Amino acid sequence: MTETTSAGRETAICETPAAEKKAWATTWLGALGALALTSCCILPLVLVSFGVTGVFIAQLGVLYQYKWITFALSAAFIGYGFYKAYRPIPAAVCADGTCARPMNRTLMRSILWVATAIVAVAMIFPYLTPYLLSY
Amino acid sequence: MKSLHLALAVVGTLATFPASAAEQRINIGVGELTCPTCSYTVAAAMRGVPSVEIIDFTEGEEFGTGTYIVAFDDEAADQDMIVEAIRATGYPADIVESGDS
Repeated sequence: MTETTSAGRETAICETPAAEKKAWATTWLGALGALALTSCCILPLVLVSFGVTGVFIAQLGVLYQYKWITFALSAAFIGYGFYKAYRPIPAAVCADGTCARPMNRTLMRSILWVATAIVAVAMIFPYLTPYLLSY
Repeated sequence: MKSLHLALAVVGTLATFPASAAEQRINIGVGELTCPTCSYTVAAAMRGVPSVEIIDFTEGEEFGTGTYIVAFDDEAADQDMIVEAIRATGYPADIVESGDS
C-alpha cells in the first residue's frame, strides 16, 4: 500500500501508531517553533500595522533574546521531521500488503518545508529590517 | 463667467493665508526596544494617530532606548494621544526635551 513518486520516494509509509504519533508531534512542534520565531519581531509589526494594540506587543518583543534557543529547538524538530518524512523505506516493509494505516508523508513534507521557509524568513528579517522598512 | 472669476479669486485668497492648524514637533523617548523591529513597531503605533509623521529616530546610549522626533497637526492630534498610543502597545514612553535621551 505505498504510493510512489516520480523520484521513486514513497509518500506513504507504514509506521506503528506510536511512531506515527511521534513523527507528527515532531512536525507540529517544528511548525510551532517556526511561529514562535516570528512572534518576537514580525508578528508585532504586522499586528500593529493592522491596528491591533495591547501590552502584549512589547512582551512579544522581549522574546527576541531567546531567539537562538527557539531556533535550535525548531531546527531540531524540523530536522527530525525531515528525517521521518524522507527516510528511505526498507524494501521488506509493506511488501506483503499488511500496511493498514499508511502514514501520509506528503502533508508532513509540505508542513516541514513551510516551517523551514518561515524559520529562514524569521531569522533573516531582523537583519534586513533597516533596508526594508522606514520610519 | 463672472462667478467663476469670483470663485477663483476666493480660492486664491484662501490659499495665500496659512492654515489655522499648526505643525508641532516633539521628542518622545521610548524604552524596552529590545528587538530589531521594536522601533518600527512603535513607529507604526504612532502612525495610527491622525496626522503623525515620524521625522527621525535615534537610538539612545542605553540599550533598548531611543528617541523619536515626531511631527503632528495640533488640530488633529495632541502629544498625549501619541504617547498613549505607544504606551498602549506596552512600551514605556515620555515626552523629552530635545537634547535629552
